[in-house]
Amino acid sequence: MTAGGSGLAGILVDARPVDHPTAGQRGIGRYLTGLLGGLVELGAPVVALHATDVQAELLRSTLPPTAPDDTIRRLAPATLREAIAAADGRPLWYVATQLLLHPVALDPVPSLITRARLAIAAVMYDVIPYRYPERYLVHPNARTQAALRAPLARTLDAMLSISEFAGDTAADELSFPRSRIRSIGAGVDSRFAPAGSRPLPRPDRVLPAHVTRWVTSVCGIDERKNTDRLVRAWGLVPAALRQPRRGGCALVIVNAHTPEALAQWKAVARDAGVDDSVVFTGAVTDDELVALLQRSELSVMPSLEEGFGLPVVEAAACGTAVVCSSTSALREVLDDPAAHLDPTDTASIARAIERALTDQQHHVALVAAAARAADRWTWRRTADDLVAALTELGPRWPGRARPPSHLVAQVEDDRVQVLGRDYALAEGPDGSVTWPVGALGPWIKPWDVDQTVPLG
Amino acid sequence: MLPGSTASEVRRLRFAVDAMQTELAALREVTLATNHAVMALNHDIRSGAPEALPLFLGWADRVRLDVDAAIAAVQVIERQLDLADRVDRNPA
Repeated sequence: MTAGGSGLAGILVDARPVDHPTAGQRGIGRYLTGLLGGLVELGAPVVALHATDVQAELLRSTLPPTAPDDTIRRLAPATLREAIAAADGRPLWYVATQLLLHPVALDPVPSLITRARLAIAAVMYDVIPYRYPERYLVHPNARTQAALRAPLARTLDAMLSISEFAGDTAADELSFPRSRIRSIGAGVDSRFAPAGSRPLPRPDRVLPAHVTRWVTSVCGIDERKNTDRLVRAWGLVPAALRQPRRGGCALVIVNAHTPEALAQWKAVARDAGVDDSVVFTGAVTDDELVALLQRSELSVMPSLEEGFGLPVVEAAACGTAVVCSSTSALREVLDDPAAHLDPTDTASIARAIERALTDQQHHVALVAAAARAADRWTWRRTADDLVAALTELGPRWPGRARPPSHLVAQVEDDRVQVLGRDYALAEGPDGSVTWPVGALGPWIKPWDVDQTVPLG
Repeated sequence: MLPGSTASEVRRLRFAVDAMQTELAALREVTLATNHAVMALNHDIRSGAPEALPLFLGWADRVRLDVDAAIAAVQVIERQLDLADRVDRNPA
C-alpha cells in the first residue's frame, strides 16, 4: 500500500454493514459504499474488510472498476499481519463504520483490531437515540447497549462525524474530546442527477395521472421527520397553488410507511382540508425517487433534527429547488439562509413553500443554492476530508501496531479451545483458553482466528 | 484510563476478564437451553396456560439479551485494559 501523499500506510474500512438486513440498502450501507468509492477515486490506500463471500461480492459490484485487486480483503488475522508489515511503522487506521448500529453484538470494534493496536476512527452518523432516549431507547436492552457504546467510543482514537452538528452532539453525549472529532460530510450516489444528464420516465406507478406538478418531501414515520406538521402546513398554502386538478401542485410524501402511519397522515390531511392534494407514495425504487425529484417544483425537508440530511443533497443533485429546516445539520448541508424554514412553526413551512412556488427570482436563487450544495457534498470530497483528518489527528494512544499472532480454534465435542492467544498481559499456563462450543460465533468471532479445526 | 493502577494490577484484571468471558460464555449456553425448553413447553401446553407462559418466555429472552450485552461489556473492558497497558508501557 502506498501513502498517496498523505503519509498514511493504510485505511482499513469495516465493510461488513454492506449486507446489513436493515441498513445495507440505505443509511449506513450506502454511506459505506459511497465512502469506499470516494477513497478509491482519490487513490487512497484503502482496504474494504468483509467477513463473508456475499459481502465481498456486493463490494465488488459497487466499487469503481479502477479499484486495485487487493482493495477487498477478508477481515482476518492474516490480512492485518500483511498490512502491519507493509506499514513499517507508518500510521495504519481502522475505520469503524457500525459503532452506533444496533446491536452491539455486531462487534463494531473486533478484538482482533484491539489486539493489533491499530488506530481506530469511528464514523459518527448521529447520537439521536442518546438525545431522545424516551423515544428511541424504550426497550431495556436498547438502553443497556447504548450505555455500553459510550465507554467503547471513549477508547477510540478519533471520530469522523458526518456534520459539525453530529460532531458537537457526539462530543456531548458520549463525553468524547471534541478536539479529536472532524467533520467529513457525506456524498450523493451518482444516480441522483438532473433529467438533462439522466432522463427517466414519469414514475406512473406512484403518481396519479391527474398530478402534473408536485412538491416532493422525502419523509418518514418517525415523529422527528415532522410529516404531520408538513401536511398541516400544506393546508396553509393558498388553495390555488395546491389544486392538482386545476393546474396546481400536489404534495408528494415519499417514504415506506406502516398502515397505522398512513391512516394517521390521511386523518391529518382530511383535518387540514388537503386530502385531495396529498399523495403518499409508500416505498419507491431509487429510479422512481430520482424521477420524482427531477420533475419536482420544489423539495421540502422540514425534519426537526438530522445528523446530515441526505435527501436534501439528493434533491439538489437532481437540479431541484430545496427548502429545509434551519436546525441541526440541515443548515450546514444547505447553507443559504434563504432556503431555511423554522420546522417548529407550521406557518413558516407554509410561507417557505408558497414563496418558492410564486416568486420566480427566489426560485432561481434556491436552485442555485441547491447546486452549490450538490457540488460541495461529493464522496470524493468526503474521502479527501477523511484522509486529511486522519493525517492531521494521528493516533491518540501510544504504542505501535503489532501483528496478531496465529490463532487456532480447536473444536472437540462440546468444547472449543483457542490456542496461541497473544495476550501480552494474560499469560495463562499454556497460553490457551477453553470455552463452551457455543462461544464460536457470538464470542469467538470467525475473524478473530486464523483457523477453526474440528477434532475427533 | 485506570488512575493509580500498576502494571501488576492491570495484569490481574486481565486474568479476571479472561475468566469472566468463559463464565459468561457458559452462562449463555444455559440461557439458550432454557429458552429452547420454555419454547417447547409453550408449544406443548399453550392451551392450558395462554397468559402465564408467554410472559415467562419474555423473561427468559430478557436473560439471553442480558448475556449478549455482557459480551459487549467484556469487550469494552478488554479494550480499556489494553489501552491501560499501552499507556503504562509508554509514559508521556
